[in-house]
Amino acid sequence: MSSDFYITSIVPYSPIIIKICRAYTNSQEDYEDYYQEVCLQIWKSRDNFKGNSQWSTWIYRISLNVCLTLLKKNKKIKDIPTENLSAEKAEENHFFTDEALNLLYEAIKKLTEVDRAVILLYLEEKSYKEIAEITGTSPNNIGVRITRIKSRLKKLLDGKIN
Amino acid sequence: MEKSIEQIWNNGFLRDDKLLAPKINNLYNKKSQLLIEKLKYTYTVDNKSILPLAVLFFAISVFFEHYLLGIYLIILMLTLFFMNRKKLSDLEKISILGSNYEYLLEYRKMLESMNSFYTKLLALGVPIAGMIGYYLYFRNTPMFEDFLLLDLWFKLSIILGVAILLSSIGVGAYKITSYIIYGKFLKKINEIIADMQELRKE
Repeated sequence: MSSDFYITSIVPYSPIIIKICRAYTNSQEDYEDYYQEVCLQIWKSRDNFKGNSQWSTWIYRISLNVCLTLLKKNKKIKDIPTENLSAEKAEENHFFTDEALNLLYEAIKKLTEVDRAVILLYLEEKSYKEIAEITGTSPNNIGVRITRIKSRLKKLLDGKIN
Repeated sequence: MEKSIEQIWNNGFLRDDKLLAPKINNLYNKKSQLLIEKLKYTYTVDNKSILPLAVLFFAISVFFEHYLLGIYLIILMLTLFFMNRKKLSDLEKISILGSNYEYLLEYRKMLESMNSFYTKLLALGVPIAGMIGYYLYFRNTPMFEDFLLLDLWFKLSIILGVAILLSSIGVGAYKITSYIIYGKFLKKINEIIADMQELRKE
């Protein structure tokens, strides 16, 4: 991968990749692996980008696809539910400076894989149409789905954040 | 007042330096290691499967009172088992301390050389081992006595024909099983090397 491509086409969008990778990993090591794999796949599929959507949408799509694929692969190796994380693992999840954000991430990780994708895209202010396009779901029920996810998150965060 | 999740999200990321891109180093590092580990594991399991087969062949030979043939088969298969183990230990010697690219190239080279070694071994070894096996099985039988009475050239033609047939079967079976068991690994190694070469070009 040329450093030019990395600097111009990936680095400006790295916050997107970081936010997504963090939602699908439980350790720093996994997070770095996922991040690298996403970058690699963006580079490998760069010729498939036809400009029909924004480059950022393309990055969201690849990041989610890679994370879901790796998650499936890793699940085959070790099926550890997020709820049963050890104290040490949970400690690793406190990655961001903002404690409320760490708690929100903890709650997001308790959602199903697709719901995680939907809420991340919603929080990134993507339109319902874009969310449906990226996640490959029907745009009709995105609104209902988001409301349901938000209420589940609210329940999970209940009393933890002021 | 409780914050909404949108507020938590936006405020949380407002001044977070954790959103800086992590350094990308040694792409394919874990991927290469996992692939090689899987390959080594498959190779070990594949090799260990020789042991029950050796015992089975020995038991069948003993059951049919072909004791010498049984001993011969078990020695032959144990030799193959230890030879494979030696080859596996050679693979273990390849160091990953250098770059992943060099590591995979070295691995591919070693696998290709092993493939060439086993092809030659089976092309030559299967007919020789097969002939000895046939001799041990058919000796002292009327069929073998009849064979000895045949014209010398005819005998040699039969031996040569059977040897060629055994050689072809040995090599063919090896190529097919290798493709089924190890084909996917080699394909993956080739793909990763091709990607790495492209990455190095840019």
